[in-house]
Amino acid sequence: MENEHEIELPASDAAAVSGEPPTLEREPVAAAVAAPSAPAFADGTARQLEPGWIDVSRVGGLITFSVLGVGAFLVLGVVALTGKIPFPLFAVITFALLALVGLVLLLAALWPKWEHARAGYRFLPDRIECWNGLVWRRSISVPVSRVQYTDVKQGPVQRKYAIATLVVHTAGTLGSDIEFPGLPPQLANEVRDWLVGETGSDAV
Amino acid sequence: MPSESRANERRLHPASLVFRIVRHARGLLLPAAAVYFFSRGEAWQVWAAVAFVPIVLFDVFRYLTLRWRYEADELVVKEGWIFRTERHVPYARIQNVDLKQNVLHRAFSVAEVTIETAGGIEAEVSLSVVSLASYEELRERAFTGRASARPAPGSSRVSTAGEPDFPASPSPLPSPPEPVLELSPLDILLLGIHPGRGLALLAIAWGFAAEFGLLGDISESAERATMGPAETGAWMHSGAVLLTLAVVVGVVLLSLASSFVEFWNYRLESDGDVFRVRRGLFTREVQTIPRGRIQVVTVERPWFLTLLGRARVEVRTAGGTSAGGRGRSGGGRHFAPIVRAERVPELLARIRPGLDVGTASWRPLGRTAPRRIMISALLAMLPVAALVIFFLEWYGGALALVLVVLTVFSARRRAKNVGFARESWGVGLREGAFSIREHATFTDKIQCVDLVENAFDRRHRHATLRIDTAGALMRSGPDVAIPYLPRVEAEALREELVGAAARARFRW
Repeated sequence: MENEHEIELPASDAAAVSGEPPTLEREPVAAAVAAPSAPAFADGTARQLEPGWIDVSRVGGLITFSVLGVGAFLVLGVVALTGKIPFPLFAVITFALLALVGLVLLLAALWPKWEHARAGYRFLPDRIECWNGLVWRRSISVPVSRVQYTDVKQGPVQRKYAIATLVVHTAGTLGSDIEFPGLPPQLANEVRDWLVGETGSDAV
Repeated sequence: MPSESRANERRLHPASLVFRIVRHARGLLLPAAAVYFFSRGEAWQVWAAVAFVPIVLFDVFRYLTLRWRYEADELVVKEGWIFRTERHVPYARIQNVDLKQNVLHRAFSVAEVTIETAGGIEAEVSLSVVSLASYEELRERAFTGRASARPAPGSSRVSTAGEPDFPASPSPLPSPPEPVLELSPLDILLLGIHPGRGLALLAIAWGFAAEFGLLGDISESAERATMGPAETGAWMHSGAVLLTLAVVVGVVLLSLASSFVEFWNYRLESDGDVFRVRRGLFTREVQTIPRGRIQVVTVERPWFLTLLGRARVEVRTAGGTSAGGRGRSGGGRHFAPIVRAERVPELLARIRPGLDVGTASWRPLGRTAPRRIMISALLAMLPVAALVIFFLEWYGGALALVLVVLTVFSARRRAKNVGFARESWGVGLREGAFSIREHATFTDKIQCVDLVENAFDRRHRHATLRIDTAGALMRSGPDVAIPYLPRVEAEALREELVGAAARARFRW
């Protein structure tokens, strides 16, 4: 396993490894290339996702894992009906499955809260960035001039909690649809309008 | 734009009817045979007619309805009669125009032509089959013919003409294409030799032979325990060895033959703003690659070719992965399948002035990267070694030891070779153990840049920098993904790259 410890680090790097989200505390480098048309929200401040995002993620996770759990119990019931499993074993499996489903549901309720602390986004005059993930952390940076088109998505649950997802499409292959979840709908629409204006000027 | 008159509409070549019907008939061959054998009397003829007639009608219908015409700045393809589709493909969006001509096509002097735009996996327009004159016209219109969108030759360029970043040749008359590379028979022969694959093949064959000989020994000893050291066993063994050798020689010959079929007459030409690749012994292919559309360039130096002073150059466009785009490493396009190493800089400079991976200053990854490469290689090898030991016992132990040594050796090589470069043209990544690959992508082609960290990365304060372009591969990930980079450095590089990309205008 990769458990060798690597300690020996210049003090200047300490901030970078203290577990902050990768782009939180950085001066807006791109201020020099600020376009005159840059809107007010493109100021480079790191923003957290709306608190509603936690609940929306919870609802999604709970629905998904509840369905899976019910499915697992259905399978177990069918197998039990065939009478191939002796009762003690059946009881053990049932309890184990119950515990597992409970644990997964608990995790589904807790995970979004943990992830919320690590997820965020920011807009700069020349680029838009977002970061997320707890175990696998990913942070994406998209130059504004590469945005092909944008969507604002809002499902029924998202509507109830008043959040929206901004989807940015680029010509790329892997990062062709980049999602900015948990935005206030008002901001999502403003960003979309801004990006549409920026890309419209590019006569491809 | 007012549509031009029907007189300007082009059609498929009449021979396309024959080809389409033949192709469909071939697809029906098996079901037809089944019907023939399972039905009695004359019924099969009825069934064949029932199946075949609609297909022929459909083919005739398609032939009659598919037309295309050239507008000032777009290609318009119309198809269908009740459900009409009209597809408008702007010339400026065309990535590749590929031609394919099998032996039958050549007899009729017609060809299959596919046109790719950046959107997705399927070709945008597939014309099967058209006359060679139509192909020339199409190619001219799509690439050099962009000049025709200008008011007059000599007047100032208009912005709709296409590639402002890659000025077309100023002369209004197309200059003859300039040959860049031709493969000699020796080159083609070398392309058919895969020493690595050959060794693996030999090892597998040897394993089979050993198994075969072993089985012979066992059965022999079980049946005739009383007889002396059996000649039958020895005979079977030598027979197996001969058979194995025959198979290996056969495979090698097949590989050489397929290399000749694929690369015969390989020619790379430069024609203004486009490169053209021609190749093929029986089936001829012509691929057209616009210079400005190249997203990623890869220089590959397999050890075997390096010994002979050769290398290989591949390019990747956004027009992806359809039939015309298959190359050696899947999705890449042939550019120079084999070329003298000293010519590589010249070829790269033709793709983009200033591009040279040889003189790039390659920077190493994080300080602990070699260790991580070694550990992950060993971990990946572990299950294989366990299986080998489990199935082959003591004999497998020796094999596992060889595996470990090989793994360590190749991981060390990989750690030594890996590096990245930030140059004026863009970003480079070098990787590989025995076959060194140097990828280069351009600042103006960068679509977005990701930083990815897993738990191990966090422990080592590393991150993987993934650079996405329109020419990356869906399955095998981005071509330029720099792993094990110190996170501080990765962030600074990302910051700088995205800024440069934002300032450079993206042109497909």
